[in-house]
Amino acid sequence: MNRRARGGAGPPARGWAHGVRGGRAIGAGPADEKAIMSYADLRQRVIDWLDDNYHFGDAATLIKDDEASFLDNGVLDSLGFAKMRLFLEKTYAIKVDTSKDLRKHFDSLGKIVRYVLTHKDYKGPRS
Amino acid sequence: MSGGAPSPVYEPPAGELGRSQLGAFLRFCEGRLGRALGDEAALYRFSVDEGARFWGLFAAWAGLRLSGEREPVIGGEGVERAAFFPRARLSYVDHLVRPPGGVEAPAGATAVIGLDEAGAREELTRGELARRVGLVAAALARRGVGPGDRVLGLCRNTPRTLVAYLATLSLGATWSAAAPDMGAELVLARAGQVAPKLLFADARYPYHGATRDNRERLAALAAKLPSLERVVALDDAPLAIAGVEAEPFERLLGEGAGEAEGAPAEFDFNHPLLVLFSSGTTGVPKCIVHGAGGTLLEHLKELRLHCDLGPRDRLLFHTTAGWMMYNWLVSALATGATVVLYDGSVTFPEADSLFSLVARERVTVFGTSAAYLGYCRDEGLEPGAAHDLSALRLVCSTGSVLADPLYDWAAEKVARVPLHSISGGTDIVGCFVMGSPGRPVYRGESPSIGLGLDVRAARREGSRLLLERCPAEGSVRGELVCAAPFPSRPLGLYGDEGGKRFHEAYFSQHEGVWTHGDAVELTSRGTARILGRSDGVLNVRGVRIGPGEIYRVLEAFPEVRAAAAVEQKAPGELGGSRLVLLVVMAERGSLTRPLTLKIKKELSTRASPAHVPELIVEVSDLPRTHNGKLSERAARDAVNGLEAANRDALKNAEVLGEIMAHPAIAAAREGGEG
Repeated sequence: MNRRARGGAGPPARGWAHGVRGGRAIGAGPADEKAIMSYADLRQRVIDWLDDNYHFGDAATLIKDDEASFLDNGVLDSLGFAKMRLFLEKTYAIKVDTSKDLRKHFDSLGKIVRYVLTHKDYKGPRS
Repeated sequence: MSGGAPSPVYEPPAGELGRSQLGAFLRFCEGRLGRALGDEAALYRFSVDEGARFWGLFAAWAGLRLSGEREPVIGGEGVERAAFFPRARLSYVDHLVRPPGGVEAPAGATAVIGLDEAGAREELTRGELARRVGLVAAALARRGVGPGDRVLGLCRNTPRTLVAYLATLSLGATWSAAAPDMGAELVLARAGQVAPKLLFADARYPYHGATRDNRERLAALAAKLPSLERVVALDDAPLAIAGVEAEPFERLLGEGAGEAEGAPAEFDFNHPLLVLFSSGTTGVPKCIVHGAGGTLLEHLKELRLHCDLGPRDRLLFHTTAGWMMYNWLVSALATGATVVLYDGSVTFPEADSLFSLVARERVTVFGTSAAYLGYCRDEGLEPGAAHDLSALRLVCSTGSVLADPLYDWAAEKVARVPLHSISGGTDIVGCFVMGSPGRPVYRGESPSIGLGLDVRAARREGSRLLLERCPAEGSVRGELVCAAPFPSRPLGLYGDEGGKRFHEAYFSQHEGVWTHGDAVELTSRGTARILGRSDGVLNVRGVRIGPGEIYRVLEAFPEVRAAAAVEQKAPGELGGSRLVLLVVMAERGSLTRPLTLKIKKELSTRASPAHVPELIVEVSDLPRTHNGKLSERAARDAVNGLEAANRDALKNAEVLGEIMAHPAIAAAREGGEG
């Protein structure tokens, strides 16, 4: 399983460009370090959510690549995208723009994580 | 109860009732009765005060082709035992193929349009549908299918399934069905009881862009159904099942050319037509037997009078071929309307795919669910702006309670047409409450009670049982009961000799009246608001789930000592509610995350994805009555933050506080993730 974001790089990928060793960023400033750590945390949180709601322990196996399409690989259907959106909005206090096709934002693990991390209202998980 | 005067979200144009079939029927009744009824409210009062006369007049107006005697209209005594037209005979299928009552439905008119998520489209004229039904019926008869035989369908919602369905019914055999994605164990618990002789099945079915192969499951199922003699594969995938003869549908269709002449045979008005499956709170699922004449009579009333359906209409009700709304939808052929079948995911390939089909096919009456409308709203869809819905004149919603804000959303974002929340279900293969032409629509309410259905709110005042109709002022709340005979009351439960289980299911709560299992509020406006289930049956996003089905799967987990499955109102969830499973562990504190996921996985595969709880929480104990019986009702109240209505009947009421205060449960009540 590829634990790194590939392609379509948004701001979190700045950190990835420097690489990760032992869960810490190398050569990244404090802000980047937060983003890098958040990517890993958030990534795991999304996988947990997929397990809780759809795949019951198999999500990580099903997601072969962080950029692989959820739709094409049977990870989520449209109703699942809607549930995912509600989960992210509640957990991370962000408002997802529903005037755009959710699948464009959410069709892969990497896209979801980057969407949240770059959202203007994102300040980490609600306490 | 009292209420102010709410403003309607939809008001019909002046004269709407007069232009409708309901208006025509009202005038017909006035002519026959020799007295003025005046309006729909008066017609309703007549229909329940003089039930036999009402139903006799409706059968005459609708042109039901009955042989034998048309009297008595209602034979026998009481709701539990009454039989409609006990001395008459009819063919259900003939009424669908050749609509009664002078309805214009020429052989060249479109009877059915079949659509699927991959974009396939098939259209059959009325003539072609009748021809195919005749051919397949003849082929089935040669294979020994006849009156009294049970046929099972595990089929997609396609024109082929429709032909198989009608051919089966035309022979006097009964039809039972389940959705293709239902777990094998659940299908067996249902179909095993009726011992089907023949199975119609789709070996593969598309869903959300992927093709699911059902062959392994079909083989496993067939191996456990010793009654099964034959399987007919509806699609083109080869199907081989050990010990059972399997053949393609095309063979049945192709072998009897020239034999499709003549009207289908008639059977007793009350001969069994359908055996529908329904989850109860405990025990095995109910196999509900519905009669041919009663089903037709009720459906014609609902479709023609309440929905004003006729030859100019195209009806698309989103359903699988395994839900009772399928049977309801197909009956619309008897109104002369075109039936639009859709098979597949409603959100594929686009989030609003279903609405684009409604637009493209110029659908006039669209039936859907509260869950789907909620999804569209939550997704920010604007179907009315994105599609040409100008042909649409009515939207019906069923499955679960339609929340008040969805009425405003639909009026603004779908179309300025009436939105009827209709409610009834598998038990009556129809609706107790629905809408009517000429009636305003109020948020959260069904605009009218079904004509001829003496619906009341049952409640106790001390030891006295009150059965109240819509009051003159304000509103009344209670359990939804029906206090007079109605045509689609089931004939009974399959295999329930003597009717003991049937009585316990529907007549033991309040002697002499049908108790439906819903809580209802009836208003002075003649409207009804369904408040949810009054029994332990779960209804999560429109899917009805018997807690017993969950408990049976949990028996495989020795770690779990006891469990209660309850529905929690959750404003932050799609559909506004979620399934919560409370578990008492054999060893305190042993509900680990891997075990939670294992339980969920087992429920998903052995029951269905709908049976998977959103939340599983460990509690120290479950509320029990003094004789030790689990009280799901008290658990549900606690999960929803309510004082238990039956607190005095519990031996361990202190556990309710623990359940109510559990952080994960409390969070959802406030709209959080939980």
